[in-house]
Formats: sequence, structure tokens, C-alpha cells
Amino acid sequence: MGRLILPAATTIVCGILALAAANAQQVDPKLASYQTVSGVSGNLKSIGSDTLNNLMTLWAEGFQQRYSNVKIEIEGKGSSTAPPALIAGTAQFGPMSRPMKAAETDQFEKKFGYKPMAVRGAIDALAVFVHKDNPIQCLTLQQVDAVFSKTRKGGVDKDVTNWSQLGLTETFADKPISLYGRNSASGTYGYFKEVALFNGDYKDSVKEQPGSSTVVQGVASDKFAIGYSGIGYKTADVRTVPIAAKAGATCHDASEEATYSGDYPLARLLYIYVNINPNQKIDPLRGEFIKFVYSKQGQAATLKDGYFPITAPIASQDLKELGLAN
Amino acid sequence: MTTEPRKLKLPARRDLRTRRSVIVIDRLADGIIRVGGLCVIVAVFAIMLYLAQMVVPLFTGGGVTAEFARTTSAVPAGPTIVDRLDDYRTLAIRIDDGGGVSAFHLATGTPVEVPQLDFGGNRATAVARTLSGDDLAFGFADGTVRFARLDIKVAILAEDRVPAGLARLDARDRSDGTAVYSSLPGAQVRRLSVAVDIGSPVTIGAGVPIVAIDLRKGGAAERPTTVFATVDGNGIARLSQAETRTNLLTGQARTTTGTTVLPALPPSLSIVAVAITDKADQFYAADRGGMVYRFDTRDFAAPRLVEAVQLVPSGATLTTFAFLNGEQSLVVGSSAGTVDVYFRLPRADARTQDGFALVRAHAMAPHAGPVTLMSMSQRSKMLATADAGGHVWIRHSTSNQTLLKLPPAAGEGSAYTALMLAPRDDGVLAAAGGRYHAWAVDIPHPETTLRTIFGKVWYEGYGEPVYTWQSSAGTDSFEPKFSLVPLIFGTFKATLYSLLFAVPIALGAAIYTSEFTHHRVRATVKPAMEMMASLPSVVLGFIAALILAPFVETWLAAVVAAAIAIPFGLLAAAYLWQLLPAEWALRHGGALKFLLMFATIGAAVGLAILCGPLVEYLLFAGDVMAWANGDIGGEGPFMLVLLAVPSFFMVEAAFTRSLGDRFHARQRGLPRHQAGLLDIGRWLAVALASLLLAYVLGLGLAAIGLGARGGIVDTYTQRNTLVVGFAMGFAVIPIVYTIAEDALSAVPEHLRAASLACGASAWQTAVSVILPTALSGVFAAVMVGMGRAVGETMIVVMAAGNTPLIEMNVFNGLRALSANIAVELPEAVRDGTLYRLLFLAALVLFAVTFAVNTVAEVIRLRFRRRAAQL
Repeated sequence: MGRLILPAATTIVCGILALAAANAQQVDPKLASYQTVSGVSGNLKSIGSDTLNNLMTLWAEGFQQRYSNVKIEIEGKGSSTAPPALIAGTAQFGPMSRPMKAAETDQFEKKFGYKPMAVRGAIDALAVFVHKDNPIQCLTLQQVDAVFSKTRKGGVDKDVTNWSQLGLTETFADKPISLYGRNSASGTYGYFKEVALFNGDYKDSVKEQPGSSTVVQGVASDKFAIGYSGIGYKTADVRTVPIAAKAGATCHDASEEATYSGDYPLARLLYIYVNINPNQKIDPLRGEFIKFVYSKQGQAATLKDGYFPITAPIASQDLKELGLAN
Repeated sequence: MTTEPRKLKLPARRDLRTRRSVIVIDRLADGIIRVGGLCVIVAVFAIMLYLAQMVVPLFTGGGVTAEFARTTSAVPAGPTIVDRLDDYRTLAIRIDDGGGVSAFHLATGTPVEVPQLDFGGNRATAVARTLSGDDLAFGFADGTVRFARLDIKVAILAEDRVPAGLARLDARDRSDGTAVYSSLPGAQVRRLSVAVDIGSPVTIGAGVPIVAIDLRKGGAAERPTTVFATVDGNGIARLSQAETRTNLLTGQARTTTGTTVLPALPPSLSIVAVAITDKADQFYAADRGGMVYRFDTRDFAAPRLVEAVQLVPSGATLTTFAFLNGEQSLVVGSSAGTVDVYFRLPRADARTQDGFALVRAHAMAPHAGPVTLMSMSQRSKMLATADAGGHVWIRHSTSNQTLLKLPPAAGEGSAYTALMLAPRDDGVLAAAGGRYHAWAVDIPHPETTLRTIFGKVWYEGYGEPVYTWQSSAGTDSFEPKFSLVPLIFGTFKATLYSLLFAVPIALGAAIYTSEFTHHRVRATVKPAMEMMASLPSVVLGFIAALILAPFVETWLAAVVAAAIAIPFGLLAAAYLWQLLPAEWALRHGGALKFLLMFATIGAAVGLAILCGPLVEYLLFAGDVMAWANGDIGGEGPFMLVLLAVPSFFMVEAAFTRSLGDRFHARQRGLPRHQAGLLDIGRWLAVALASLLLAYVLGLGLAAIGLGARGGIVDTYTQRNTLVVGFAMGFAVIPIVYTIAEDALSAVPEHLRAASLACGASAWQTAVSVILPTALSGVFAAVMVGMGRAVGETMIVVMAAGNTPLIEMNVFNGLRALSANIAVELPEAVRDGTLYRLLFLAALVLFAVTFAVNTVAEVIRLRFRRRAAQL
């Protein structure tokens, strides 16, 4: 049996290496290449962000291919589910698409005495999606606010409810805008509310979807729709809308360049929160997983999933803080 | 062949005593059933009690868990201008106007040595701090401003790494004179120390003293912003904003800054405080007399004074003025004791330049004496206020309630000079000189009262008090909106529309299979319908959301047309069937008739799709979406369709009452096909008359403002109640059908036979004899269906859009109680407010089903008693 498995495994590993090599040009070359170590086994569970769900799965697959004795379970219902899971100890990793709130950190600290640590695993350009036939060229954050928010803290005086108000004509003229968004457990919901809605409130008519993929599906099947989710969920049936930080500013699409430079106003970091006791050395299982995330191979997965890889300075800074730097 | 009378065989000797084993089993069964029944009742009550017990803390306020008054020798030299408490209520820090920083251990009053701020010998004339107190800004008499940081450094150490020779402060804490070491569970120690850092002076207005200053840090972690504003002695206000973006590839930070000088304020003013938002779009300056000047600074190139308004009662002076966490609520305290919360809101009657006005949203309970101090929560909309008599009150803005009234300690009663609400809302510190009073408080659910959950609440930024549900967000400054009203409404809306769709079909089907078809047909149809009930609702929801919703959206006019065409087609086919020769009709009454029915439905659907555009043109002025949106067309045609069915029944009833007997007498004398023709004629005439009636009624209703648009039809969205109704229909129809069918079939055969023998038709028998007799069962069927619809979760989660709206519009979505529980439970922190509110939602759901079932049972029993008399 062993004879049968070995060639198969070799083929898979070679395939992955080839894939990693193909993507390697875009991953920061200064990132360390992952070195498999011995003595890593056990079970891991991740509960949290839906935005990071596929990415966690890719990391878990890559990790499990290196360590056959490791089992990883991933559950992604929204970033807000991560802190309760970390506190209850039901998960070792809590992926979140927004930073933890102070109130959440308080709860964690109440139980453990120390604060949770954050791993900055990938970079996302939170995208505003429209149907692929929608010709809209650019939206300012203030316009996005007026479309999605009932309190309009962005400063636009008038509510925007139909496509004509955004300058569309022909088939889109006078058509009501159909809004899609995430449920409140989502970090994307929270981040979009903070940045695009200027901490205002969503309209009651935003259709809350339980996952990022259903938001994108909703927009794909609804011609007059607009919605938001992580760039990793983009499909061929939807378009991303270029966004400008304010009226008169240049519009930037959710491209790699605009995201890294900070010009795209909805660029954000994606985090994985971990419960690490600052006085103890992290166990090899979680430690190796985090090292894998920060490796060339791990970051190649972010590209595969449609996100952007983090850079070597961020990786070395975080590894140092986590006590994993070599 | 002759038959002999059969002899009845009787047992030779009949044992009249019941066997012992039977009695034992009987008793046993009796006992088990009794106990089981009681257990069920107890379990139901236990669930209810458990839910209630989870919910009660929402409505009980907070309490003081510890309280002490002490003195400390760590007293600043000058007047205190900044107060700080750390997150763990271990250290209290005060800064005086000369830059002297003093700190003491809160529980004991022991001084802790901390680094000092170097003001270069100057005294600060104004001070600002961010809500956390980490960032500070000081203004000086020479027109300079210095920025500073006050960091409380936290380190977690292992017990064995704690330095030796620490002085013990109390049971938990030790100190080396400059840091406090607190023992934590798990052999850990938390080390708290203070670090300060001050920048060099920045000249703002040369030589003119700074009288007021404000500082904000905001923006997302990726793009932090700093905003600060000053007012100098000449009434000149300045506002600056800086945004920093870091290039993630190069690590280079780019900071863009902007500064503006605001139109001058009257120089005679005595400015008490300034307040700015972290977006630098609004600037407020408050005068001691209570006048507040609001500037619109959205455009830095052209800032303008837009509003000047008196915010304190006449005769009083303004004593405190600050934003609540989130910079949307301005809290104004006065010497008259009032504490009022103001929102900046768009107002049509605003006599301001930008159409906005400061509106008093909450008038909080007033203090007996002048309000002297105020401290805002960093986590919520809580605040603490103190009056001149030494009373400290903890309040909450959203629920507008006073959570705790903390009286002055015995023998005290003078004003405090410093007031701090602990960063985690779990304590208050009030101090005057070296004397201080600390309270540890526990207020787990400050934002909920019966009124905030079931009543209208005026939330920040909202034009008026509303019912709304928005439970959480990604920032601490969010004001949670916990009104269950939209969710209860959503549950009832989904139930109502799905029953409107399901009940007629299910009852019609039940009557048809029990009264009109061969028992063999029934034997196939019934299990098939019951199979339908076994479809998992998540599958139904999935299909509804991803297939049905886009389909209905594309073919909306055809769907409306089908709702007319299918019943009309079936009725037409039934009348045509009457024209067939009697023998032929009888012979082919089985399978062929059945097939023809299906063919009719198919034809009607085909016709509806073909006629969709025509219907759209006739009823909806050519575009159903735009029509629903209220852009084009009139009410008339749609009201006609809506009222056609009730009108039909009205006209039909009127006809039967007035001319029915005469018509039947005439019909009886005619040969079959002529009678049939006459019947068709009658039906067409009634239909035409009812259309006419519907038209008149529709016009009348529309004229008095009872049109459908803006009520039950409005702007179309893809995930809507119509789709939910269809999908939920699939879940509800089988249940209603099968129970109703059982009830109808259970009507004694002799009633049916008697009715038919008296010459009643099958239809007359069904409607006038069988249905009234079986009414209790049929009613139970509808109620069970309703129960299913109320509790249904997955279909509404997937297909209803989860929009917490309070609109009857069938074309938009809803958010049901059950769906809300399913969606939000994973994020709810155990024993948190949202967690308990979801339990309250469950309790409400429970109470609703309980009430519905009780009412149903009472009515059912009444019907049954009546039926039993038959």
C-alpha cells in the first residue's frame, strides 16, 4: 500500500510546488520558504470570518499535506464568532476580517489575563460589487454611504435610492437600487460600516446574507443590485466598482497596486487571532501553522484565493511579536 | 343453492373476570401515560422558566459591588486637568496644569512614582484628551500647543519573573514604587507602569492664549487620522486634520494634512469647550452663557458658521459640554442641573444655513444642584455626571435612564473636582484634592428597558424615535439598536402571506380529494403530499433564493397573470365539462378528467406567460417594477384584480339570494347541454358583474387613499415576501392538507349519504354538510400550518433578505424572529445583552405560538361541541 501512496503523494506535492513556483513572482521574495519540521501532530479548529474561510481552508490543506497527523477543522460564520470561540476555547484560531473591538478584548482578558495576539495573514481590498452589465464607472465613499446608509454620516444631503441618481441612463434609468450586504456577525459588515458608512447605520432594506458568496450570488442574479464583500469572492458575473476617497479624488479599482499603496480606500488587513500566553512558548502545532501562513507557500495561497499577500516586513514583525522569529 | 342460517358460536363458558395481566398492563400504561404527560407539561414550563430567567437581567438595573472612600498623599500641586484610570481600575493618574503627573494605587491610596510632563515652566490654559486618554493636547497662554501621550503600559509576567523586594499594597497588588504588580489567576502577574511623552511646542496663534482645545484620533487601523481644534483668546478657531496612509510594499507613510481658520467668533464670548468630530466635518464651540456655535467644516476651503443656538435654560450657565463616544451625541450640562443630549439632524424647518439643527433628543433626569463634572464611557453610550452636592449619577443615553445614583459618603457633600468613569464601565472614581471615593459597579445591560425593546427609541443620527433592529458592529462607538418590534412584525408578515397562499390551495385540495375523487386517487395523492412535507426547509429556502427569486423577478407580470389565469381557467374548464354528454362525462370522470385538469393548469400557465406583457401593459402601465415603485400608472387596474375575487363571491351570493331559486327552477326543465350553456352564461354574467363591482370598489378605495401601492405593494426587491410565501407554501400546504383531509374524511358516511340522497350535489354536500361538520379539524389544520409558518426558520433566512422593515409590502423582504435567532446566535457573547435578547426573542416566539395554539384549541373545542350535536 505504501508503494501506491508514495508516488501519488509525490505527484501532489510536486504539483503544489509547481503551483507555488508559478505564483512566486508576486509573493514577496523576501518571505521565508517553509521548512517542514518533525514532531507536529494534533487537531486544530478555526472559527471566525467568512471572508477568510476559503483562505483558511487553503492554508489548512497545504499544512496537512506537510503533516499527515494534523487535522484542521474550519468554520466561517463571521468575524464576531471568533472572539467567543477563542474565549470558550472551542477554537485555536479566530480569523477576523476586522480588528477586535475593545469590548471583545476585555472579555478575553477577563478569562485569560492577557490579550489575544493578532496575525496579519493577508491583505484584502473590500470590494463594492455590481452586476456585470452595470456600466457604473466610479463611486465616491460618500455616494456609497448615501446608497447604503440611512444616517448618511458621509455628508451627502440626499438619500440615493435609484441608479439615475448615480448618473446611469438607459436600462438602468430610474431603476431602484437593490442592496446586498452581510449579517452583523460579519467583520466585513463592521468594517464597511466603519469606513464606507463613516460609522453610520445601514438601511433596513439592505438584504443581509449569511455569507460572502451569497452576497456575490445575489448581485450576480439581480441586475440592479449593489453589494460588498472581500475581493476573494469575485466571480465573472459581477464587476468591482472603482472607489474614490472623496469627491474630486481619483477613483481606484480594487487592484493590487492601489491596495498596497493605500490609495484604494477600502483596503484592509485580514487577521487571525490566537490565544498565546506571553509567558509560555507557543506549542509547535500552532507555531508551525503560523510560520506556514507567513511563508512563501502560505502567502501564495492568498493569491490563489484572490487576496493579496502580506510583505516580508509585516511577516517578520508579527513573527517577532509572537516569539516565532528565528 | 340454499343458504342455511349460520349458527352463532358462543364460547361455552365465558370468563367475566378480566385477566390479572391485563389489569396490570392497563394500570402500568395508565401510569406511564400520566407521568409522561406530566413530564411534557413540566418540560414546557421548565423551558419557559429557563427562557424567562435568562431574560430577566435585561430589565434589572445595575448595582454597586464595592465602595470605599479614602485619602491619598499623591495630590497634584496645581488644579487637576486630566484624570485617568487604567483598564483594571488599579491606578489613578492625575495631571495638573503645570505638567505634574501624580498617580496612586486606587484600592489603598498609596502613591506611585511616575514620570512628569515638561511644560517648560508654563501653565496649561486649555487641555484636550481623546476618549481613551492616551493622547493629550495642552494649550498655553503664549499661543502654543503641545501634544503628549500618556501610556499605561501593561505587561503579563510569569510569577517567577517578578522582581524581589516588592512592597505589598493589598491582597492582590504589590509595588516597587514605580509600577504595580497584580497577581492574576494562573500564576501570572500583570505589571502596570506609566510612560509619558511630550512633543515640542507648536505655535498656533502667536501670543494669543489658547482658551479651548479638542483632539480626536480616528479612522480605520489602516488609515489613522488625527484632528484637533483650538480657540484662542480673540475668538479665532482653527481646525487641523491629518491622515496617514502607509504603503504596505515600501513601508513608507504618507501624511496629508489640512488646516483651516474658521470665521471669527464674537470676542466677548467666554468659550468653555470646543468639540469636533474625528472626520473634522463639524466644529462646535460652547459659551459659558449656553450659546453653542456650530460650524460646517466639510469643505476646509470654505468653513462657515451655520448655527448659533442657546442650549441651556435661561438664567443658567453651561457647565459641561462634550461628545458621547462616537461623536454623534452632544451632552450639555448646566448650572440648573439639566443634562440634555443633542443630535445634529436635518430639519425642514431649520433656520440654519445647512438645513441641519441641533435637536434635543433626550432630556435626562436633572440633578438637584448644578452639574459640575461629566465623564463619558469608552465602550458604550454611558456617562457619569456629578453635581455640586457630591451626588454622582450613572446614566445611559440610548435608554435615557439613570442606572445608578451614588450618594456622597457620610459626612461629605461638597463638590468633586475630578470624575472618571472606568474604561470598562465597571467603576467610578470621584475625587477632590487628596480625598477620593471609588465605586465598583456592575451594570451588565444598561441599554435595555422594556421601552427600548418594545417601544420607539430615538437613536443617534435618526430624525425621530423609531423601531429598529441593528444589533452589533465592528466598533465600540456603535449604538446597538434592539427593538424586537420589526422582528415580530416580520414573523407575522411571513406567516400572513404564506397562509394567504397556502390555505386556499391546501383546503381546496383536501375538499377535492376527500369529496370528489375515487378513494384510490386519494390513496396515491395523500402520501405524495405528505412526501412533500419531508422536503428539508433549507432546500426549499435555497431553491427559493437562488432559482425562484430571480424567476419571479423576471416573470413578475406572468406570475400575477397566472394568479388570475389558473383559477379562471379551471372554472372555465369545469363549466365546459358540464356541456359534455352525461354518459361520456360519467365514464371518463376518472383519469381523463384528472389529466384534463393538469392540461388546463398547464395551458393557463402558458397563457399567463404569453399574456404577461399584455397584463403588464393593462395593469401596470407597461412596467411592473416602475409601477410598484410608484413612478408610473394608476391604482385602478391592479385594485380591480385584487378585488375581483371578493367581488365575485359577493355578486355570486347576491345572485343566489335573489334569483337563485328561480334560475334553478328554469334550469331544471332544460336538457343537460342547454342547462350547461345557461350555467356558463350565468357564470360569465356574474364574472362580468363582479369585475364591474371590483372596478367601482377599487376606484372608490383608491379615491379615499386606501390604494394598494405604498401599502401591500411597493418598491420591488428580489428577495421578497412573495417568494417567501411561495416557498413557505410548500412547507405549509402538505401539513394543512393532510390534517384537513383527515378531518373531512372522518365525517360520518351517513351524513354524506343523507345529503346526496336528498338531492344535493357533491359540491353542496361538501360545502354545506361536510365542511361545517369537520370545521374543528379544518381549523386545527390551519392553526398547525400557522404554527409551522411562525416557527419556520431556514426558508426565511435564505429567501427573505433578512431586512428588519416594518412594511406590509409584499414585494420586499422581512426579518423574522426565528431567522434572527439563527443568524445572530453564533456572534452573541454568552450572557451578553445580545445573547439575552435572543433568548427574549425565543420567549416571544414561544409566547406567540402558545397564544395561537391556545386560542385555536378553544375555538376548536367550541366547534367540536357544535359538531357533536349533529
